[in-house]
Amino acid sequence: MERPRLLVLEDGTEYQEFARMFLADRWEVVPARSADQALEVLKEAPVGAMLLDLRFERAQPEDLTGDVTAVAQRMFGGDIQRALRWLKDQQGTLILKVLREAGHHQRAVFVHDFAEDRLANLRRLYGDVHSVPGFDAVAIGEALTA
Amino acid sequence: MTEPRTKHLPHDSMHDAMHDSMHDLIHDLIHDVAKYLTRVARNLPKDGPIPEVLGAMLVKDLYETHRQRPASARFDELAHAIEDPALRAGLRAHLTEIDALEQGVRSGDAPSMRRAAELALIFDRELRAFVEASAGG
Repeated sequence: MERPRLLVLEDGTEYQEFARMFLADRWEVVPARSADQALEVLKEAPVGAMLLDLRFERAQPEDLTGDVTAVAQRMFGGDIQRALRWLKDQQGTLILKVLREAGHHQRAVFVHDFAEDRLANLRRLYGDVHSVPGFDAVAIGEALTA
Repeated sequence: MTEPRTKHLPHDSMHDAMHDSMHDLIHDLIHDVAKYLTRVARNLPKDGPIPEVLGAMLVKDLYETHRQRPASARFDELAHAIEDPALRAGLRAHLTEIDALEQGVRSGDAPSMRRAAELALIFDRELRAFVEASAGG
């Protein structure tokens, strides 16, 4: 039986290794490391869901979504390094914003321990968003499909 | 040519020096250490042999956790965020024991792998309990 595609967004390989090991019986794993790559993947064929990292600390600045200069001015008194750090720390949600704006509204699951109010805010902004605190294969499998 | 989403910047070599709050450091501990330390540990088969491919992933989680270095090395960089010395020492002791098991884990010794996985889960549980208690207090 054909499996739905699972878009895995991260700055390394840990999520896709995990997904191929524990979720591959139900999902075909397709990785992406940036919003542009994700949009390319989504142009090829639709996906059934997305699994996202939040923090992209290993991403190169040119691969990050977000205007670092504007963030520095608006939030950090012009401090570019703090703005860059902030962009990396929020990168998963910033990429999700780009994908939602491009019309991709599939379920998004973060492996992250969001506070309740922050998760509620993400749902208000981006619709079908879930989070699982750790790499629990059963919990993530359920979150992707429940 | 597509406009880049960010302007090009020099790599932030001062990355860690930029952390200016204990809150950030604690969240780094959760993200950089606990989350990846338990990636396989959380999903090991309850009994029976541990598949080789899972063992290889476990090695990566425990001993190449953050930028190819063991979890204990990253913990040492961030541990000053934990003000309670007893908790800090307790968490470090779990990682010390994990490090001591490295030879057995790398050689596929099932008892070593299971003990290391158990310690990883204990570390994660104790660190998250500390974070919850801190948030509550």
